[in-house]
Amino acid sequence: MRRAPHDEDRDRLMYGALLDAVRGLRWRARRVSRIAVPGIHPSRVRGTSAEFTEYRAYRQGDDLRRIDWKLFARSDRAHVRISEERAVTPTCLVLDASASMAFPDGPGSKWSLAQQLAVALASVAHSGGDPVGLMIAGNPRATIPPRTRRGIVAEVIEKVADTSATGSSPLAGALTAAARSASRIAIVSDFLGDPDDVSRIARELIAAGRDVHALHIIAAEELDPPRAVSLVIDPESSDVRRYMADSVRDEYLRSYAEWREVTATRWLASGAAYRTIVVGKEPVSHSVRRVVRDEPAASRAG
Amino acid sequence: MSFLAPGFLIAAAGAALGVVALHFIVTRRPRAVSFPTARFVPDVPVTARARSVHLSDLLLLAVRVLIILLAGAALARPIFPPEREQVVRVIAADVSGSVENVAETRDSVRALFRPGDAIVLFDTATWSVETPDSVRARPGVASNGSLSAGLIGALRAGSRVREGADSVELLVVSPATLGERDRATAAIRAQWPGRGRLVRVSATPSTDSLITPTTQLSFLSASRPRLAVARNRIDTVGAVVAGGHVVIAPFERRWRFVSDSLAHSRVIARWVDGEPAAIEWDSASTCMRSIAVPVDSTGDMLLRPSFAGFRAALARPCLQVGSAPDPEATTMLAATGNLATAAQFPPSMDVDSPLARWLAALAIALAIIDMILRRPRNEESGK
Repeated sequence: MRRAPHDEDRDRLMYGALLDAVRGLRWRARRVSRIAVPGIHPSRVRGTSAEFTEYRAYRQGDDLRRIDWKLFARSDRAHVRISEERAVTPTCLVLDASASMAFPDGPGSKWSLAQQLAVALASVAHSGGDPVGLMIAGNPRATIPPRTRRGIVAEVIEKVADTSATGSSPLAGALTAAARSASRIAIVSDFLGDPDDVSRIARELIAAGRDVHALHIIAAEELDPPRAVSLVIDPESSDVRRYMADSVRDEYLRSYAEWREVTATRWLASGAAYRTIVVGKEPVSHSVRRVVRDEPAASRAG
Repeated sequence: MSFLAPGFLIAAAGAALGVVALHFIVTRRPRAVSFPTARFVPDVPVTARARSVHLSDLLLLAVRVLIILLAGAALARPIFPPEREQVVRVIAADVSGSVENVAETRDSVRALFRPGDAIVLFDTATWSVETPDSVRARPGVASNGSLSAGLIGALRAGSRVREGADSVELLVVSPATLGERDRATAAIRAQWPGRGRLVRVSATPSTDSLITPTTQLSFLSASRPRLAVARNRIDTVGAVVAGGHVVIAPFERRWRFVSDSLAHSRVIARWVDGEPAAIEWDSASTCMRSIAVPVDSTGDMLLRPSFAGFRAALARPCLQVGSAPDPEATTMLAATGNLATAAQFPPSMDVDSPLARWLAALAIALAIIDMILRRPRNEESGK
């Protein structure tokens, strides 16, 4: 369905400052690409570009045009000139739109931050010439395969704006689907849904050469819950109903910190780029810079 | 100010204390909120002590306590008693047919009456009037009065005037004839907790000789007694009683008195099952009797001593009008001892309490305010 023009204006206004703030950023691939399409990222494919790398002894089947004839004249041995190629990195942003992402209510929710991160990362990747796609768990209509066309960022904006965080769709399926067409996958989630499955699939993808970024979104209220006594209910599992009070607060903080530690360790051990991003703690553009510059986990929560 | 039913006020005070206690120890369910990391909260029972009492809570508490106290006060029926007299009188004035001239009774009451006194008029019923000028007989009532009825009315009046006096004196203005006294009179008089005084007025002249009943001794004939109708089905009954004389015999009941006849007459003999067997009624200056007791004149019943007594009881003179004065009435009604103190009378519920209505209205208004105050709290807890 075509969106109304005023919706697009609103989105442009909402994301305009953020897109300005991330303009000029480059999102370097953490791994060499296996794709031959020319781009800015290092490629495993050795080619004939001007950027010389090494000589290699001629082997049968090599292109005769790549033989360095001057070296052959000096050494009487045939060598082939090897140069490094640059390739593109198809990028897919996988967003978790489960009900837990809708916390807390209002514009400061985890889902709101996930939307902004997705738009900013899509913009950064697109400005580097990389195809950009989108996958939202629980909303198959919002799927965009990686593309380099001009309007792809606007398309991402439209899709994330049309999606609200509800239900409890598993993230693993979206991750698997994203891996079919992308060599770089950025997962934006609170990892409260199916962390084991997601982690396992991510490990397999990394082993297969994919570049995986795990952006762990945390709400400030989760790190420092209100002190008023309340009955807290898991939005994705209404069976989980607990009483939050001062007497159990320390135990909660300890358990939650332990879980975050385990999650971080698991992601880092799998070779993914793991970042925790706390809602409202820093401008979104700063979070994007940390992600694309692959800065170590200086901002680990807690 | 005093209360007609102070028990309600005490109960309300107790209830208010309970509400205050409950208010401070009440447990509230905490607010339910969505929290994605709820799974990390230990699943243990939690109690928390409120750190402060909100102003709205105190206001709510005050309103509720006020509602209870006002409702209790309204039920307790507060009154402002009149200026307290040392002695007030309850004047029971006889306006029955036993009084020769009701005007004499009125004059006596006027002479006795002082502001704050209560006047109770009686014949066979009793009612109150405010002033001596209102002392008059009920139209159409010519029968003997009932001292018992008058004393009961006086006792009720004693409860009504207790708030305005230290002592209450009983004054009975009556001819106190024998016909006005019954077996309950002495017992009812004993209920009055003090001495009294009888002010005699003239009784209707004794005309006993004139009121020998015009008796139709129907049991000697087979004709229908006056005011009686034939029974649908003749039945038998084993005995008949009149004036303490019982005649035991297999009587055939052929007649019965209809309720219209009984309304204006008195029963003077009954069958053993309680049905009237003979009645009498006043007629001008005499009285009439009708006896529906069929007797077989061929048997020996007429010769039995019990039947002779039964017959004498039915033939004795009527005592309804113009009876002789009761010689024991003065002693019985005056009694001895001190005047009755006000506290000896139970509080009367007949006293009007205008303040009670206002208090009840105020309690209702506060109940509405309570609902308004509660609404925001309910909405908050419902979120």
